[in-house]
Amino acid sequence: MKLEEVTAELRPRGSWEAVDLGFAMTRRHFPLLLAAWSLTVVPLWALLLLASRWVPVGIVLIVIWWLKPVYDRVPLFILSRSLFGATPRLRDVLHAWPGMLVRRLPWLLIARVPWWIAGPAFSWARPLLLPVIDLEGQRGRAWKDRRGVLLRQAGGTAVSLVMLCGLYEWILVFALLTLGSQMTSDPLGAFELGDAFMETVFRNGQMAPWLEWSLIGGYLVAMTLVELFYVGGGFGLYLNSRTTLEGWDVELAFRRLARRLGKAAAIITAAVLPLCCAGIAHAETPPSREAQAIREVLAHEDFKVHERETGHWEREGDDPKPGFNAPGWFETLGTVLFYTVITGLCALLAWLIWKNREFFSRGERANRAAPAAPRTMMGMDVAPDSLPDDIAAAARARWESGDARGALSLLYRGALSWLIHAAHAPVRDGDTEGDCLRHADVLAEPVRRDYFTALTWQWVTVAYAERAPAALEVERLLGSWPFAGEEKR
Amino acid sequence: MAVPKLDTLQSIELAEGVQILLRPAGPLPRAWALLADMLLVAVFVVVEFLIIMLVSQIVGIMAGVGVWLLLVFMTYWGYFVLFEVLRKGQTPGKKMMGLRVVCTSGERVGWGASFLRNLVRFGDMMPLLPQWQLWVLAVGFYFFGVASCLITQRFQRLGDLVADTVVVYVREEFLDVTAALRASVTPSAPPMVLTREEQQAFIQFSERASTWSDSRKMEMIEPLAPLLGAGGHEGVVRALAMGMWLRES
Repeated sequence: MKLEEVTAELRPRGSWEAVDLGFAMTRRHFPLLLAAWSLTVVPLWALLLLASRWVPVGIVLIVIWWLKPVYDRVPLFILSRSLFGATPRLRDVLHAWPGMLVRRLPWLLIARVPWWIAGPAFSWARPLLLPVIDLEGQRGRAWKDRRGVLLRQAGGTAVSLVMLCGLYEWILVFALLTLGSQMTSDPLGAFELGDAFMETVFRNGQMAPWLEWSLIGGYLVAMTLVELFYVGGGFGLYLNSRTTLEGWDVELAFRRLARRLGKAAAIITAAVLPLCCAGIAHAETPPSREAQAIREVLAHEDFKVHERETGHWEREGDDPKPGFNAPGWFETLGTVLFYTVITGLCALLAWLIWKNREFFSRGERANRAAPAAPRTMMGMDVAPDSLPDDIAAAARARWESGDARGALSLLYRGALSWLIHAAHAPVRDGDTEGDCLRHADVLAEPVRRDYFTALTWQWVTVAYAERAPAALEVERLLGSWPFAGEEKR
Repeated sequence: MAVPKLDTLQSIELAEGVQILLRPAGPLPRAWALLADMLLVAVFVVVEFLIIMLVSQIVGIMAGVGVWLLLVFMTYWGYFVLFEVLRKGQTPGKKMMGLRVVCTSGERVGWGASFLRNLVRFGDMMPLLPQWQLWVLAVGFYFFGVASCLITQRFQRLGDLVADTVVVYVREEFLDVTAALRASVTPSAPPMVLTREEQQAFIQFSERASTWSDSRKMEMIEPLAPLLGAGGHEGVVRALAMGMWLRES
């Protein structure tokens, strides 16, 4: 370890700042870290996932999760070496990878067991303690001592790092899935992932294969991204602890000073050095001619140092207008004004809402006068006198002549007309198809309601999506017209 | 060395050549601050909901829900903006974690910057869940926020980038100061002129000396033996004396 070639600023920091430094280290080497990860860890995952042909995929996932300390060695290898100026190449990482896979593997895997089973091996602070195992190679008594010291120094922050990384790993899975579904499918499909997921996880418990595999893929990508920063943050903490505990920063500065002295010594020769050290002896020697000359020059008028002192009087005792000059006064006024304006705006909003309260509570007040029945709805004439007597027959005639749109339009107008004039629904001329459907829900009996729903759906499909209706469906609608005889009452 | 040393500090030059250091805070403490703030805001929103439920007995349920949704939006936005501007850049969560929002110039954050950085918060929260009910609770994945925070040098999320602000640590640098030096050490001047960094190293050495073992201290001053005129225990005492002298002068 060559302390002189360290590539990060060493200095005792607060432990949050130490984590930040670790993140910055990961950021600096991110391309290399990612490349090394995808050449070492990803092939291992591929092999393990291949095994899911014979083993349940859940067990494979548990194994992948359990092996996390092994993966952590890859970024740790790169970060620790590049800290001391020896950034490894990909070839070096690949060369070291078999060793990382086996070195103290059983111990590492047992240490992953929660502390209430296997004792506090990692005790929730794996990113902080892994360097002790991996870089220092400590074991036994020394490991226990080291662990105690490090946990006292930075344990709390390490636990908080572990917790947030664990939380964010899962957040990231869903973020990636949501992002993926929003990027790839049509806008309506974006809702499907969310709903399908809720449906399967909370109701059926049986996942579709595509969802299962995108979950696994999302989890592995999330683990990659989080783990790199997780190891970086932990390494930053570890580095800071050692810097503080062993005074690396001071040692480094001393070594630099020694090197500077070494250079100076080469020039001055060792014999001069004691003279420099005895600086006080110089003052006693009589002034030389040069010193005399310098003193004479400095005594000249041009070198006289002029100084100007300024001061101002402050009134003692009570100020005649206390608080007027206080800087807090304006601030208070500003705050009061601000809250006044906000309160005023809220009051205005409340008043506007109160004044227009009918607008919100439509349909809840029985004593309100019913609006005049509209003649046109959504650009269609729905007045009873504009419609033929036998709507179903007229619509069938149009359907048979090939005018599907005309037939459905006629049926829908008839149904609306019935809703307005026979059922006396409070329909207004600004209402949409959805509003009408809601009125029909409230008023009509089941047969008519179902018919109205089906008809609305067909009409909307034809009118707005311009899709041809299913012939069977239209036949059914034509055959079961439930509003006959009542529309001209 | 070609590559500058990695550090999280950012130095800013003010007028007249004065330099100050900003200490930008990374995503970890900021996440805790955000969680605390979200908890508080959730309390606000629930209280508003209860009040609105009472009021909506009069104005009707639709009006009540409408007003509540408006209030929720205003709470989410207003909470951060008001606290940041009126409490010197600190929401309660940030205060808990010892953080503060400032402009990248080191100035206090104003109305404009705070409005902007909190409006863009909705961008940082992306991608949002498809369920709009969760939008009301402002539950986002903060994917873009975290990514931007990790990519940028000053740990800025998108809102910070747009508003030109940065979240910094308030508390002074942690130092394990245990200046319990033995009374036998009398301060003495260093035998030669030292640079600022070197003086600082001696001061640090004397301040943190009690946290290191004697053998470690001897190891540290070993390269300085020619300067101190002695190694071993005597050298340590001389280095401590120089550190104390530099600290007092």
